[in-house]
Order: sequence, then C-alpha cells, then structure tokens
Amino acid sequence: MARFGMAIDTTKCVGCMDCVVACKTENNVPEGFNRVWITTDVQGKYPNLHMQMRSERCNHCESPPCVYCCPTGASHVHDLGGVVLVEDELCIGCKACIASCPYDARFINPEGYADKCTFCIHRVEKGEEPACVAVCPTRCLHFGDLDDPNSEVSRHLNSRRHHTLMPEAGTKPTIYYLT
Amino acid sequence: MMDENEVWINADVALRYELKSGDYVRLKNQDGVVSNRIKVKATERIRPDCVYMVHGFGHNAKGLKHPYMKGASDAQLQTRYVIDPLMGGTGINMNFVTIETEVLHG
Repeated sequence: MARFGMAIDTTKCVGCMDCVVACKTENNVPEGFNRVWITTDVQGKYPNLHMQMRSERCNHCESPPCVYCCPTGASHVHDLGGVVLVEDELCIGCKACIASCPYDARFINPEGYADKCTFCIHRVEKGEEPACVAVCPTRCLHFGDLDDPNSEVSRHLNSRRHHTLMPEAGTKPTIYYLT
Repeated sequence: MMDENEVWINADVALRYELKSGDYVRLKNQDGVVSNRIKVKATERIRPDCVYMVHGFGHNAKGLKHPYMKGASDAQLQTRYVIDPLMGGTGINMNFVTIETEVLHG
C-alpha cells in the first residue's frame, strides 16, 4: 500500500518561492491565498542566529483532524497514497477543518469550498512530480512512497536527521524536514 | 508579493524606542528629509546600527499603482551620493537616518 510523503532538505532551501508560484500556476490558486508558503524560522539573539527556511504545505497527515471533523465527508483520504483531499461538491464551507488544522494549511476558496495542497494528485496519477517538486531550483523537495524502503524519500529519511512539524499535535504528518 | 515594505530594526533597539512590530515610524536623514510612514519589523536579523527596507515602495507617482503611497522610499532618503565618472554607478553609503516615532495626538 503506497503512502505518499515528502522529504524536504532545509539545508538547500533558499526561500526563492519558486514552489509557491509553481503551485499557484498549476492549480489556479486564487489571488491572496496560498497552498504552499515559505516559513523563515529564526532562533537566537543577534549576532548568534540560526535560520531554517521551510517550504510548507498541507502535511497529508496519517491522522488527519480535518477529515475526522468534516460533517459531510467532503474531506477524505484518497485511495492512492493516503493523500488527504476535499471533494469540493460535497463541501459546505463550514470551516470546521480550517479550525482543526494545527498547520493552518487550509483556506476557503472564494468559490465556497475548503482548499489546500493536493500533492498534485492529478500529476502524480500520470507519473509526474508535484509542481513544486518539479520546479525547485536547488532540488530540495523530494516526493515519493514512504512505504517503499528503496524510494528516494525513504533513503533520505534513513540517512539524514529529520523532524516533522508539531509532532505533539498527534497528527502524524507525512512531510519530513531534513536538517 | 507584499503590500507595503517594512523597516527592519534590531530587536534591542526597538525595545529602547518602545517600538514593536506593526508600529509605524518615519525615517529622517542627515539633510532633514523625512520619509513616509513605514511599518516596523523588530527583528534579531539586523545589526543595532542599521535599518533595512525593501526598495521600490513609497512612491508618489500615481501611475505606480501598487507602491503609490504604500510604505517608504529608501531612494528618497539617499540625498548624498557620488557617481562613478566612467560607468555611472552610485555610492550611496553615506546616508544616515534617525527613527522618528509618531507623536500621539493629545
């Protein structure tokens, strides 16, 4: 059973936002909203600073609170790869999922439904990479099957230090940040 | 991708001026030129003796719709400069500013 996820190399991300723009273009994300965004995490006191740049998006959690709280079943786990998707025609825009997501990954599309990263499932089904992965100029975004020990993502996770976002939330994200 | 630029002020300096991120200030240079209001970003990411702002904002030409009267112009504050006689490049690193905090109307 495939489980799609990502390994994102924070030592190579330069915060160029090509991923943000590629996603907007590929998925017609409305102006003022983002499915992908860059977080600049700065720790320390001048001049001893540490900065981590992260390309963030929906974490396609294995324990997705946005699916559990959806009253209509619009928010669901797709058969392929455990990708979390929204069936826009079933969505009533109640915003329960917006409130439930600890990562603020969702937004209400002006057309009235909850919207977020889809791992470009329309591309993945055809054997292509998600748009953000395809354009990254430092090739720091890796997408693949976490259940396949020989996949690129699995090999990165087995050889590099990594962390997920807010593990204490218990959502079990499938996006791992390599440090 | 931004509506207005912000002036990056070292976090300790901001504290001394009783400023926090989101407050508005003006910058005044050595020749008395005062900038538009600009939003403060208090951050550890800059030296205490410098301020930074993204170039291109604070325009007063109506045709530049996006930055028209949004943010402040660094170019407006660069009143001292030297020009390379061969290729026209400019040296603008002799402009200094003070932070003018807004006076609350009584």
